[in-house]
Amino acid sequence: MQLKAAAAATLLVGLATPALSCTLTLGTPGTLGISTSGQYLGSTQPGGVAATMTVATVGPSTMTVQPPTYTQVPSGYSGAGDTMEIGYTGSGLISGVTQAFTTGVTQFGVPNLLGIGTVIVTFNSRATTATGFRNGTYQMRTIVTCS
Amino acid sequence: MRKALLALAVAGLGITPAYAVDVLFTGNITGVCSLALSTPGTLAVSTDGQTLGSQEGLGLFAAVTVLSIGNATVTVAAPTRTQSPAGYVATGETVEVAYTGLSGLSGISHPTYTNQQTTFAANSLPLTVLQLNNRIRNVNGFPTGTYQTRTVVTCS
Repeated sequence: MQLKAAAAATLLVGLATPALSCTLTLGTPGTLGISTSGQYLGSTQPGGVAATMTVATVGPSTMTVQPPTYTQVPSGYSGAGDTMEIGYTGSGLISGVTQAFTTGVTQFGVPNLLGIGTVIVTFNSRATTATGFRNGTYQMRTIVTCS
Repeated sequence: MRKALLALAVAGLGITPAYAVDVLFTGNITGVCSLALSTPGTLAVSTDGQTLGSQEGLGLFAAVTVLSIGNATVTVAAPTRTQSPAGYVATGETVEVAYTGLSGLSGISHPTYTNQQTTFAANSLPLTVLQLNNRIRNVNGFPTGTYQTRTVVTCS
């Protein structure tokens, strides 16, 4: 009996620790569309598609979402002064997670999924131009960290 | 049990494993530009009878709305006379256009009448109004009847 009690106590301590394992998988990359006003370039604009990411954890985790940055813009477009925003929603066990568009760093928690379950986070990204978008290809990157 | 011991070890050392992923969004902008005539203009004759224009008497300018996404160039062609009454002497006439932009095109202005084609850049404009004036100058005067001028505006 004493041995069983000791094992249970150890297990509880283990569950309370930060993520032992966290696997982030990009499901669908996002697509950017342009607003009819020409002011916004984002995944919620016409032609845009949200990005999805799957999270699998062992142990409770904290997700940190950085604001997006440009990784590609057309020649002649600097992007300086543009407002870069990210928003997201969770599903499944984290369906209560909702973040409206923000320019800041945000965090949310993911419970212990025991390595057998997953949750999906849907991200939307948006840039507001300061000078007017030019023709060409744009790419934004948001870094998501699990710890 | 092995996982639990690993958790204890990690927590005890104050080391938290971190994992990261880049969430990428990509898009391509191709130029979109639309024009719409919101108000046709009206021509009126000047007091000296030698000018028929939208800035004379009860004349009114024409308004064109411009919406541009990405890079675009607006071309205002040289105006032409498309209708005049019998007996009108066209010899020596000059058909001209002038225009002024509002709001997003406020920096675009060609207030001086010209009979030549002109262009200007219209890069990523919200819905914006371009006011156009037309006039015909003719020392032979303008017999009674209906006159019409046309200015072709293109966005490309």
